[in-house]
Amino acid sequence: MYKEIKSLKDVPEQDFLIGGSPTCSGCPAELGLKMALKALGKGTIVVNSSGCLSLLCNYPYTPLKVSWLHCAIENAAATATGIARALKILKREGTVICYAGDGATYDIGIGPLSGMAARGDSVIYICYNNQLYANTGAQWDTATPFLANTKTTPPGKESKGNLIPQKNMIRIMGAHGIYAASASSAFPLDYMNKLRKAQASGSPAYIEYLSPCIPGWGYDSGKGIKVAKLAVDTCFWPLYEIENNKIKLNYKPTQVKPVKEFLQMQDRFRHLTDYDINVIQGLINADWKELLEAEACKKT
Amino acid sequence: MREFFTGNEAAAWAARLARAQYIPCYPITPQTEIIETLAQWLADGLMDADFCSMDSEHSVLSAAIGASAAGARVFTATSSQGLELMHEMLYIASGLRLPIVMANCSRGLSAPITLLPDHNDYLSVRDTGWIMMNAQNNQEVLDSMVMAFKISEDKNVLLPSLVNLDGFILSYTMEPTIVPEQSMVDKFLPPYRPTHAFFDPERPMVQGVAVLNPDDYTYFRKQLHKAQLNAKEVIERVCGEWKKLTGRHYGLVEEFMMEGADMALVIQGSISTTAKEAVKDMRKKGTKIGLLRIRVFRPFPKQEIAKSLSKLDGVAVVDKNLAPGLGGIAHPEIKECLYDAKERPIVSSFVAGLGGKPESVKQFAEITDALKKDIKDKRGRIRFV
Amino acid sequence: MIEEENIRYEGNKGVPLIREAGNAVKVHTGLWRTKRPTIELDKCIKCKLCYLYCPVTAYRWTKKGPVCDYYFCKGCGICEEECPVKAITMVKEEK
Repeated sequence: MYKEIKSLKDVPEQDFLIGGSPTCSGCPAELGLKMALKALGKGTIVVNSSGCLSLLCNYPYTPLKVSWLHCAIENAAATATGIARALKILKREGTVICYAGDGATYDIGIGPLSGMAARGDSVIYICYNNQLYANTGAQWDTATPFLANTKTTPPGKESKGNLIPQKNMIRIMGAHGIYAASASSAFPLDYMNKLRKAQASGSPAYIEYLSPCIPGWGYDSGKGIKVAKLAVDTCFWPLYEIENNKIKLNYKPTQVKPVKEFLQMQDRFRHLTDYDINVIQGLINADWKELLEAEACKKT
Repeated sequence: MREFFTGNEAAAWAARLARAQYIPCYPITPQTEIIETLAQWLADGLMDADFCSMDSEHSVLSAAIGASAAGARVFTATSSQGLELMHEMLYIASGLRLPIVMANCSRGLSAPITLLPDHNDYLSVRDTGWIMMNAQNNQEVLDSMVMAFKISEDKNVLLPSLVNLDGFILSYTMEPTIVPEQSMVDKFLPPYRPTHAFFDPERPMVQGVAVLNPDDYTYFRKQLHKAQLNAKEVIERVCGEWKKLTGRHYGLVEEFMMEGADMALVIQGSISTTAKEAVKDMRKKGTKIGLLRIRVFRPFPKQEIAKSLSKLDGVAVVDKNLAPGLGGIAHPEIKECLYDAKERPIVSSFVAGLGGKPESVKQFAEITDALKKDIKDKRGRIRFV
Repeated sequence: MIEEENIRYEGNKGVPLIREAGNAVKVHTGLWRTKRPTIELDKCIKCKLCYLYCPVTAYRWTKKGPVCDYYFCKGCGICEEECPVKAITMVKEEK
C-alpha cells in the first residue's frame, strides 16, 4: 500500500528540484520532474535519456538535490536496470526512475524499455511526452499526432503535415503485464499518486506524462497548465491506467469539449481547415469510445 | 589447484575469484560458454552475484555502467558484433571512469560474416580509453582478468579494462591451467569501495553531466589520458605482486629469444605460441631472430617497444587484423615508437590470419625470408600472407 | 600548452561529476524574464497552486502565503493563469 496524497494541502513541501537550470521559461517537462521528485522523496536516483532535460545539469551546476545519471539516448531503461540491481546487491535504499522524452522512448529506446519491463526490474519509467523530438528543434517522431506541423513534417502545397498515426505506448507497455498509466500536469494529485503506487509495488511501471512543449507546439508560456487540461477535457489525452492487464479510466469529463478548442491554442495545428479538424474529431471520438468499451469488458 | 578447461571457463573462473557482483550478459559465439558457466555456478550456489540476461549488448554495457556508477563490481563478456553494437557505450564507460572488466572473445567482423577469430573487433576499442590486454594462453586469460580488476580499480587509474582471448583458438580449446586459491585472491583483491562514483541518498551525486564549456571538457579528457599513462606503472606494479604470489610473470610486452637478435617478429595474442615455435626452429638453423609480444595495447608501451626493437636490422609486424586502405593496425603504431630513435630497423607489415585463417610455423619462416629481402632492399612492404 | 608528462593527475577531481547538490542556486535565471509576477496577498486563499505549478520552484510557501524568489523566476506566467482568485498579475519587467 502507498501513502496517498489526498489534497493539495498534503503535497510534501520538500523540493528536490530547484531553480537555476537552463530550460525554457515555463517548461512542463521540468515541472513534471519537480512533481515526481516531490512524490517520490529523498533517495530517488534519476536516470535521464538525452533530450531537453539532459541540459538540466550543466557542469558545474545542478539544480537537483537527488542523484542523477545521464547515459545515452536509448538506454535509460537498461542503465536503470543496472542501478536497481546494484542497489539490491549493495543493500542500499533508493527508488530508481527514468525520465526520458518520447523520442527516446517510442523510437530508439523501445527495445531496452521492453527488456526492462519483461525482466521485472524495479524501475519507474516516466516518459515526458511532448510528441516531438523537441531538443533538436521539434522534429517528427512516432508520438506525433495526426496532421501536426513539425520541422520534418511541415505542411505545404503538397502536404498537410504528419499523416502517420501515433503509436500507443501505454497499451504496448500495459501488454507487458506491468502497471502503465497516462498523466497530465493539470491533474497533479493523480500523477503523484500513480508514482507513489508504482514506488510501493517495487515492480516496473510506465507513466506517460503529457508535456506541452512551448516552442514545439507554439503557445504562450503561461497557458501550459490550461493546454494540458484541455488535452484531457477533449479526450485528446485521456487519463487512464492499466493494472494487471485491465484498463481503468481515471477521469471521465462530464462535458467532453470539442477538440477544436484544444487545437486552436497551438501553432502546430494552425494550418488545419474545418474539414481536417472534423477528421481529427472523428478519430478522437472513435478512440474514446474504444477506451470506454475496453474498460467495460475489462480488456487491455 | 591444477585444472583442464577452455579459455571461456578460465574467464568465468576469473569473474568468480574476483567476486564480481553484477554480471549482465547477452549470448554471442564464441563467448556464450563464459556466461553459461557462470549461470550454472550461480544456480548451484557456488558463487554469489546478480546475473542478468539483457535484451542486447548495448543494454549489457548500459546496465554495467549503471551498476558500476552505483558502486558495484561488474564483469561482462562479449565478442565482435556485440562489441561493435556497444561501441558508443565504451566511450561513456571510460569517460565516466568506471572500472568495469570485460572479456572479449575475438571474432572477425561482419560483413562477410564469420565465426572464426581475428583481432579487428579487439583493436576497434583502441581509441575508447579502455585498458586493453591480449592473452596468449588460458592461464594468462585467468591471470590477466583477475589482475584487471585490481588495475582498473586503482585510484590512479579508474578506467575499464578489456581482456582479449582469441575465439575458438583459446575460447574453446582446453589447456591445463592453475586456478589460484580464493583466499589468495581475496587478499590480493580487496572488495570494491569506490570514493569517486556511487549513489547514496545522503550524498547525492550527478554523474554523466553535460560539459558544454570546452576548457572543462578538455580538462576531463586530459585527466583520462593521464590515467592511461598512470596505468603503465600500475600494471607493472600489479604484475609484480602477482609474480610474488604465483611465480607467473607478466608485463607490458614479452620478449622471447631477443638476445643477440638481428630481426624480430612483433605479434599479439595466441598466434604468438606458434610464432615462438617458428623462432626456436629458425634459431636452431642459425637465423638470429626473436619475438616481441605486445601484451598490453592500451596504454601503448612505446618506450618498451623502442628499447626492444631500435637496434635491429628488421622487424616483421604480424597483424591478425586489417584496416582497409592502410594495412595492418599495429604496424603504424610500432613504426611510430621507432621514429625518434637514432638507429631504426626496416619495418614490414604482414597481414595474416584474417577470419581465422590458420598460421603455421612454415609461414613464419616465409615471413622471415620476406623480411630479409626487405632489409636488403632497404624498404618495408605491406604483404598479405 | 603542456607536454603529456607534465599533466598533473588530480584523482577524483578529474572525474566528470557534480558532488554539490543543488548548487544551481548560483545561476541567475531571473535575468531572462520580460515579465514579473506581483502578488496581492489579501486575496490569496492559500490553495498552494502557484507554489506547486511553478517549474523553477521560485515560490516559497510561508504562513502569509506565497513569496516569489525573483532570482530564479523566468516570468513564464503559469502562476497568473492558474491562480483561482486572480491574486497574481504579470507586469512588465523594469530595466
